[in-house]
Amino acid sequence: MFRQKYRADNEKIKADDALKFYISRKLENGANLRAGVAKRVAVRTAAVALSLVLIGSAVWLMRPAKVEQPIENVSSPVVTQAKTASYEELYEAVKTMRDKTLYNGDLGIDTELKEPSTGSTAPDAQWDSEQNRYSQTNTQVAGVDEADAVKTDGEYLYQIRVEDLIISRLDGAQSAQVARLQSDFAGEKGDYVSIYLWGDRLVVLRTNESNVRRKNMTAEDSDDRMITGAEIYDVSDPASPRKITELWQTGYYLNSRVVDGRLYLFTQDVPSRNCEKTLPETFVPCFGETLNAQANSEPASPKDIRLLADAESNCYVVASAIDIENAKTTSTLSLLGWSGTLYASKENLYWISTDQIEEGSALRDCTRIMRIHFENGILTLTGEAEVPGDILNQFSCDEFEGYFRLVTTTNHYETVEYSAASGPEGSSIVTKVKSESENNLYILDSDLNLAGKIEGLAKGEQVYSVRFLGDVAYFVTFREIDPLFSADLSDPSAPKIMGELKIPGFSSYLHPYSENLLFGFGYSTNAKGSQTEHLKLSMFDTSDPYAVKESHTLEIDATCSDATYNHKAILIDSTLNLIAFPVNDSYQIYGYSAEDGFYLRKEVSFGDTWQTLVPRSIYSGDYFYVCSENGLGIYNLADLSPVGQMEYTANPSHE
Amino acid sequence: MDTESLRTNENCRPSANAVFNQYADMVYRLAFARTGNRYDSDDILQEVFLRYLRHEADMTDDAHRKAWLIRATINCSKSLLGSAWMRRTVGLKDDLYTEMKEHSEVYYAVLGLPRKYRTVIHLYYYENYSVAEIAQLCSSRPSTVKSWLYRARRQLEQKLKGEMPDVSSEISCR
Repeated sequence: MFRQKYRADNEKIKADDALKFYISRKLENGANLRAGVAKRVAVRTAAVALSLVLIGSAVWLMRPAKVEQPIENVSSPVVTQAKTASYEELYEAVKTMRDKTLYNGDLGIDTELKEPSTGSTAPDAQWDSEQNRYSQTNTQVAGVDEADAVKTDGEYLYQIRVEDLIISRLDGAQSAQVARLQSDFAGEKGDYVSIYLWGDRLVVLRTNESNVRRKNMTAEDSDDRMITGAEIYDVSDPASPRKITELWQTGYYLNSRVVDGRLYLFTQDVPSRNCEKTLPETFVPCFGETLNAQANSEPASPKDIRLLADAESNCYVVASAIDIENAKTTSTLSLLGWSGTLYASKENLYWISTDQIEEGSALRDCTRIMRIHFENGILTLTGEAEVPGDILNQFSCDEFEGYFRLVTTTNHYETVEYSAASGPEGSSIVTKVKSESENNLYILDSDLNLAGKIEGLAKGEQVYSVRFLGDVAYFVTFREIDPLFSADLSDPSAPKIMGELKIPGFSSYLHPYSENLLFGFGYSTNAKGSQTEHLKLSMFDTSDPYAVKESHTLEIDATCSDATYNHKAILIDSTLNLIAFPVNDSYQIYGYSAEDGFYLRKEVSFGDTWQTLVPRSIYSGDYFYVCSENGLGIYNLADLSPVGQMEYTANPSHE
Repeated sequence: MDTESLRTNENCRPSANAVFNQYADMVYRLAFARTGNRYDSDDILQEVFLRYLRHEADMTDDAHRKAWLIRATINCSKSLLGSAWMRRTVGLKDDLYTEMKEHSEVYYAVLGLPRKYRTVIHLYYYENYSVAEIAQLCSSRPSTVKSWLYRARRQLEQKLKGEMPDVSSEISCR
C-alpha cells in the first residue's frame, strides 16, 4: 500500500512542460548551458499542465497479516499449543510451509523487536570503582540489560560501528582511543549489531553470512547460512582485548537480554530452500562455536524444538542461553512457525504473537502469549495464554508481582474494494479495512489465567504508547487527539481507569522522569490529526493520577527521531537535567525546569554527513560525551560547554 | 518511449534529447524527493542534463545511462543544498500542495524524513532498485543502505501509524 501510494504521488510530480521544452531545445542544439548558473526559467508559468489524478479518499487501514502459532510442549502440562516433533515431522512441516508462504527472508534488516517492562524502572546511572557516576543504556527493567551500540563502565567506552569496534578511555579532554577491533567477515557479508558489557567481558553480537559446515562432514558439505554470533572478549585490559570464543546460531538477530551474567540471544531463522530429508541441519536451526575460524555446526535436537500446531510462518525463533563468564551455551529452544515479539522480565521471556482469526466473513485480532522461564541458564516453556487484540510493542506488557499485564487494541474489520489510481497496474483490490477499534487492559495471574480486565476504552482509537509503573499504568491512545489514560492496577481482579487527559498530538514513548512527572516523547499533528508534524516533548504531572495534567509541552523544530521507536536512543536523567536524543541531522539535549518547562541546552550538528549510525550520548564523572561514528564530542557535564573532540583514528569502513 | 526510438543517430547512441525525454521525469522526481521544492528541482534537472551532455560519450548502455543520471542527481542535490537549506518544513507544505493539488499524507511523511532516507525510500519504492543496486548508486555499502531503509521505514511506520501495511510488514516480518 505504501508503495502504491508513494508511486501514485510521484506520478503527479513532473517538471513544467515549458521548462522541459526549454531544456530539450538546448540539448538539441548542443548548446553550452552555463554550468553553475541555475537560471530560473522565466518561461515557467503558473498554470502547469500536470496530469492530476486524484487518489480516492479512502485511507488504508489494513493491518499486516501477522501469522502466529500456538505452541504445544508435551514436557510441560500447562502448555498445550506446542509439541515436540521428530526430524521427519519437522521436515514435512518446513516443506509444506515453504511452498505456501510468501515469506521474504532476505531483507536482512535487523528487526530488534521490543519487550515489555516489568514494572520497575532501570536505575539512571551506575557508579564505577572511583565513585564516578556514569550513565547506562535506557533499559526498561532494572537488572535486565539490553544490547546497544554503545556501552560504558564509566572508565572506558565501547562503541560499535558497522564493521569495527572502538574502545576509548574516558577522561574529559584527555580521552583517547585505546583499541580497535575489526570484524573478520570479509567484504559485505555481515554487520556488527550490538554489544554488552558484563564484568570483564565484552560481548559483541554480529550477523553475517557464513559457510556452515555440516556436522561430521567435510568442507564441501556445507551451506551458506545467515548466522548470528556472540563474540566474547576478555577486556580486563581494555587496550588489549582478547577474544575467548564466538558462539553462534543460525538466523538473523532478533533480540537479546543479559540477566545475571547470562546472555539470552534470539534469532529468526528461515530454513534454506534446499532441505534434505536425511540432513536435519538443512531444515532445523544449527549452533556452533567458532574457534580458529573453523565452523562446525550442530543441528538442534528435537527435544529442543517445538512445532506449532497450525504453523504457517516458515521460520524458527531460536533462543539460546549463554553463560558469559564461562563462555558456554547452556540451553537452547527453537520454535517453528511463529512470528512475533519478544518480552523479558528478570525471570521470564514472553513470546507474543498477534494474529487475525477469520470467523466467517469477519476478522478478529488476537494475541497469543507463550512464557519461557529461564533459571540457571535453562530455558523451559511454562505457560500460555490468549487475549483479544493486538499489542503495540514491548512497553505494552509488564510483569509485576507475579501478574502479567498488557494493553491491547482490538480492531474490527470490513471488506472494501479499492481501485488503484494511475499506475502501471490500474487494477482493483479487495481487502479488509479497519472500521472500528477499541482498547483493553488485561491482567493475568502467575498461571496466565485472566484475573481482571478493562475493555472497550477509547473507541475508534489506537494505543500509541504505554508505560507500566508498579500499580499504575499510563497509556496513550490516538486518533485525532491523544487521551493519556491512567489506570489503577492495585487490585488485579478489578483494574480501574483513574483519569483521562486529552491533548493534541500523541506520545510514542513514556518515561518516568521523577516521582510525580511523566515524560512523553512524540509528535504534534495537524488540526485533523491525520498527519504528524513536528516532534513534541511533554511533561505530565502525575501527582494525582486521577487528574493528570500536562505541565509543559514544547514542539521542536525537527520532524523525526529514532527515539520515537527505539527507547535506547534517548538519554534521560532528571538529576542532571538531561533529555538527549538524535533528530533529523543533529543531536539535541534539553533541560527541564518546573517554572519554565523544556528548553534546549545544546545542539550538536553533524551537517550533511551520511551517518549510518545514530549518535548516542553518555556521561561519566564530570563529562558528557556525544558518540558518533567519527568520534566523541566532549562537554562539561555541568553546563555542556565544549571541552574538545576525540576523533577515531580509523574512518568507518563505509562511505 | 521504446528503446527502438532511442537509437536515432548513426553511432547507435541515443541523442541527448531522446535521453532527456525518457528520463526527465525520473530525474525530476528524485530531485523533488530530495529537495522538496520545485525551484531546486528545476535547477537540478537542468544541471544534470547539462552534465550529461559533457559525458554522453561515456555511456555504455541504457542501464549505465540511467544509473549515471541518478548518481548525478544525487550529487547535484548535495552541492546545491549544502548547509543552506536547513529547515525542511519551511515552505514544504505549500510547495507540495501546489505540486499535487491535494493533500498527500504519504509523500508528506516521506518529506519529513532526513534526506538520505528519502533518497533510499525513493529508489527502493519508486525506482524499484534493490538494496545492492542502491548501494552502488549512493556509493555506499549494502549494510549502510539496509540500515537507512530500516530506519526510514520505522519512522514512516510511526508517522503513518499502521495505515501502510507493507511498510509495517517489511519491518516485522522478513
